[in-house]
Amino acid sequence: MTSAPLEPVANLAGYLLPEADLAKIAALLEGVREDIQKLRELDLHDDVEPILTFRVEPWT
Amino acid sequence: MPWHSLAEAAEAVRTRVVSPVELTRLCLERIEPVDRAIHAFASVDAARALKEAQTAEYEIQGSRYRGPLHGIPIALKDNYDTRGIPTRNGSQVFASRIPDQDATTWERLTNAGAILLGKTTMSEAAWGVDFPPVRNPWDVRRNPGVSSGGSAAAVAAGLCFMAMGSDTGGSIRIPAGLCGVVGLKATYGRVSRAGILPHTWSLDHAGPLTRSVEDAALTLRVIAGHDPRDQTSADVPVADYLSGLKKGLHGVRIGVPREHFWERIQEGVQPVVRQALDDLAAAGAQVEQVSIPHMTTALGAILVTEMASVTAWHDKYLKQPERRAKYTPEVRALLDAGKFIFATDFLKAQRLRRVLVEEVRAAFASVEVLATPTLPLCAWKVSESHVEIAGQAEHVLHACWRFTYPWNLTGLPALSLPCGFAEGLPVGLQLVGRPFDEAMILRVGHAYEAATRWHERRPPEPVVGAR
Repeated sequence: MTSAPLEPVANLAGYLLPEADLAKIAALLEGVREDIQKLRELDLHDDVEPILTFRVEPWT
Repeated sequence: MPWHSLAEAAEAVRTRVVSPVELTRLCLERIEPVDRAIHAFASVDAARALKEAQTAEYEIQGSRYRGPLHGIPIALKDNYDTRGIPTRNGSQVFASRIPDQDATTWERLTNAGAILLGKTTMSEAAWGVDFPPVRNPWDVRRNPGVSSGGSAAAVAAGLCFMAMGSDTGGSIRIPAGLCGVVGLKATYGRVSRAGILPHTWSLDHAGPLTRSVEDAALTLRVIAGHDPRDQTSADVPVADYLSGLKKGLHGVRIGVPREHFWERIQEGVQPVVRQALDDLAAAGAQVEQVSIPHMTTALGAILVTEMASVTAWHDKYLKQPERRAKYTPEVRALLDAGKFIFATDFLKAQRLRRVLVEEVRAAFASVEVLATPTLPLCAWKVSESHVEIAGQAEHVLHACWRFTYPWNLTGLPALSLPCGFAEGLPVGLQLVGRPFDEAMILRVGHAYEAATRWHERRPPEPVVGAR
C-alpha cells in the first residue's frame, strides 16, 4: 500500500506501485538527477527543434 | 580451427578442406567444456545445428556454394527472433516465448547458409544492473560487458565464428572492447531491427561481433540493406565492404575529439589508445584534433531517451501483475523509474540530439573518421559495482558507456577493435564514420589490424569454478 500523500505520485505510473517500489524509484531517479539537471541547464538556441522521428540521411 | 577467423573458415569450407559438419562439431565440442566457465550461451541446439550443417554440406558438395557464410557456425543474442526457437530477451518475463517468424537479420544469415549454434546470454531485457552469469574469457572473474556480453564472450573464447549483438548505448562495442574482439554498429537504419526485441526505438542498432574487421565486413555485406519490415530501415545502396578493405591509410584523415573522450579514463587505458593513434599515423593516416563542444553534456539526453522509451515498450507487461513479478527487482525498478521522466526533459534531449548531429557533422568536415577509446576502463570484477577512475568512484554502468552512447544519439557507424592491453586486459579503439560510410571505418580498422596484429591475441583457456 502507498501512504496517502504519495498516492498521487504512485498513480502516475498507471498501475499499482507499493511504497517500497517508490523508494527504489526515488533512489534511481536521484542517481540520474545530476545528469538530467545538466541537460535542463543547457541553453540551446530557441530555433532548435526536437528530432521527433529519428532518421539518418547520407551527408551530401 | 576454432580460432580461425570467419574468413579463414569460409575459405576452408569453400575449398572443402573442412566440411560444415566438421566445423559445427568442432564448435559444439568446444562449447561443452569451455562454456561451463564462460556461460556465453543461454541455449544450444546441437541437433538442429548439425542438421543445418548437413544440409550445407550437401549443397556445397553439389556445387551450390552460397558464399562466405555458408556452413559457418554462428550465434545470435537472445533477443533475435528465431522461428520455433525460444527467444527470451534474457528475462523470465519472456521465458516461454517462441517466435513464429525469424528476425530479418537471421533470415538473411540463413539464406547465406549460416549455421545457428544457439542463443547467447544477455543482461535482462538489455537493461539494468543485475548482471547475467556470463564471464569474460580473458579473466573469468571479470565481466564481459553489457548487454551483448554472451556474444562477445562466445567469439572471444573461440566458441563460434561470429555472433550477432544489439546496441542501444554501446551494447555491441562495450563487450567487444572488454573481451578483445571486433564489434560493429552500422549507421542507424543500415541493418534491419525487425524481429529483434526493441529496447529504445530511436537508439537501437543490430550488428556483428567477430574476431577480425574482415569478418565484420563479410557479415555486414549479408545483413545490410533496406527492409520494409523495419520502419526505420534506410533505403540507401549497400556498398561492397570488402573491395575497399585493403586500400590502406594513405590520404585518410582521422579526427580525435578534444572534448569528453579523454576525461575520466583509467590510467592504463589512455596510453594504449594514444599509442593506437600513433600507430595509425605511422601507417599513413593524418591524425588531427576536432571539436564537438556539446559532447560533454550528452549523458542526460541518452538517459531520458532510453529510460522513457524502454519503459514505454515494457508498459504492457508492467501492468500485468503476474508478468511484472517476473522482472528482477532491479530491472523492475528501472522500468518503473522511466514513468517519471518528464516530457519536457525528453524533448530537450531530442533538441540536443539535433545540435549534436550538427556539431559532429561540422567535425567531419575535415576528416573521414573519428577515433576514440571504446571505454574508459577495462573489464571489472563481477563482484564490483563501482570502480575508481581518475580518483573518483563511479558505478561501472555509468562509466562503461560514456564513449559509446554518443554514436547512438547521432546514429553514426562505429566500430570497436582490439588495440592492446592494460594490466593484462583488452583495450578497445573506437572508429566512427560518416553516415552509411561503414566502408571507411572497416578500411581503417583493417589497416590498423594489419599494422599491429592485436586482434590475433587469444585468451587463456578458461578455468571452471574460478572466482
